[in-house]
Amino acid sequence: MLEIVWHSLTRRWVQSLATVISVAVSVGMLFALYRLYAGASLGLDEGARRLGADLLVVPGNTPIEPETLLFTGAPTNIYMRRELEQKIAELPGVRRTSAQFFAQTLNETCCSLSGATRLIGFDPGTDWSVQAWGTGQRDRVLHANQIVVGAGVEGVAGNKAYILGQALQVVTVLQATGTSLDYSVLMPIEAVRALSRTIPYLRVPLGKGNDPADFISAVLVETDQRADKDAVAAAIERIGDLRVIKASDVLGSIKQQMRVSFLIMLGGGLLAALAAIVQLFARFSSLPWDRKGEWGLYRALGATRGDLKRLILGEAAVLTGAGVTVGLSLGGVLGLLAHAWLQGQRAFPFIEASWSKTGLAIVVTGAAFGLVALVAAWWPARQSGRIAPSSAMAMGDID
Amino acid sequence: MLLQAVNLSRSFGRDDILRDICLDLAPGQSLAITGPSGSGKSTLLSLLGLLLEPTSGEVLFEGKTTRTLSDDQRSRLRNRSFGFIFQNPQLIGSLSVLHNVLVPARLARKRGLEGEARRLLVTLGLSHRLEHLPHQLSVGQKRRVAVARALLLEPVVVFADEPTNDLDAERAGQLGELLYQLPGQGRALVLVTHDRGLVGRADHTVDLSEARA
Repeated sequence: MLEIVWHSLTRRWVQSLATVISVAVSVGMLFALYRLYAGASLGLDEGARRLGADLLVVPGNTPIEPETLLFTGAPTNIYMRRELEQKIAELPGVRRTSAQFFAQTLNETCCSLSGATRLIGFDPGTDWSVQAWGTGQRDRVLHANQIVVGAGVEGVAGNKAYILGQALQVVTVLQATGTSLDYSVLMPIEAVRALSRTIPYLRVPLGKGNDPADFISAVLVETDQRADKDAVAAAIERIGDLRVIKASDVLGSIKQQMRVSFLIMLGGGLLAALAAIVQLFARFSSLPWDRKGEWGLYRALGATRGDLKRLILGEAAVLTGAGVTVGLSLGGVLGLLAHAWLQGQRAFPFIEASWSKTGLAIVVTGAAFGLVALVAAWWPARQSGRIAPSSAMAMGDID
Repeated sequence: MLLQAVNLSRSFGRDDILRDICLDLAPGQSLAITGPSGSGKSTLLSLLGLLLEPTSGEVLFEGKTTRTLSDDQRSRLRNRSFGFIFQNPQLIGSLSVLHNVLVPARLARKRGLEGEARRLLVTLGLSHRLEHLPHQLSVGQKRRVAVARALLLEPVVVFADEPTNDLDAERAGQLGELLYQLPGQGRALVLVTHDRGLVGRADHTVDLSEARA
């Protein structure tokens, strides 16, 4: 029976190919969209979790959007007086603070670590965020000659790395965040300040006469559990020309934007799916009449009604199965390309969905299109089964 | 008796095509059905071959009524016990000659008959056409493929509807020879034909112009 199905499909190869492509394109689009959406959602959640701070305080004149700073960690040179951290820490509702210092963007000649693009100083004494992301040694005190590197930097814990002429030891590799933090090198804040003081290339953004030791770039703030975050943010802004970024607000806003974008893309994907469904129905709905002679002949030669149903449903299953298989592969490749592009742009945190979720998406997509094909082919299969075997007597050649 | 028609009648709407046809056919016998166009020759063949149900009367196969058989049982009986050679060869265009011959075996879910199909095609002079598609064959060759398909599962009754139509005298003679070898092999042959040569060789004849009258 399968042989008859196969020959029938290959004989009508243009129609068959059109159906397979139609199904494959819609399955590919939907699967790629799912992977991107799941990856971006996970990336955002993970980015927020790993930030670990309720508020991020930066200078008021910071030129980039809060979400860019918070989640994509775009390299930027922003500085404010270090005393501000103490003032913030003393405010009611603030549980703890930790300062960071962003050095000048690294260039390719600075380091032995490929993939590193920026240098961030953090305070190992007060930090609760950076070291918690590491793959080990989180309780260890970080010395001036030790560094933590992002997941995208080609560093191995325990190995040496050379940065701006300094021999440093990689103690921890951070887990992937899907942000540009993955391409950062993190050092104790005093060590970065010292480098910025002695290396002219790093000192440029601070300007002449300014000692890096007097500056910080950002303050991570964790509020008390019962504290009103808006009130704490307002109090911080009253200290001076500061900008307070609320992680929950930014996260919610980005998620909303992301949902809208994906809904628009999903609309496109669903339209493609609709076109594939119409194609499947069009392909099968005319079968009882278009191939009446063939069905009549099979009936005359001894095919039962069930046999004819199996032949038609078999054709639907092979076409849909091929379309879904090609589509899932296509979606996988599209997803990988989009992932690589997004990572290259560092515009969006992105973490791959787990295998179990991806597997479930594959099963659901396959089952949904299988069901559509079954519905599309069922009625024609039933009608074809009703064709009288005597109709074979009156037929001409069968294509 | 192998095949019996008992008061077999068939109408289409108000038009009585066949009325009270009775006939018996034993294994190894041949029957020629003749009559003018529209007299119901093909209808009678369809009724005897269980392709069509009678309005009244019944067909008995090996002494048992077929009236009570379900649609699936009739299908299986056609597949395992009957062979059909239609007026048009009715080959599936997407299948090679060999695979066309194997269709009844595929429907019967019988494996291992490829050798037998090849042997039949070689016997019918089509050894060089096994992998050809139907559109690459002449009318006579197509007819021989249809004969091979009808004989593959060794049916006990072979039904042939105008088998020599469109064939030149030589080809028609060869096909007639082939068909009339079947009764010698213990099979029954039921022919619808205008060919007097074929009619003359049959053990029994039903002339529907007389039957109607």
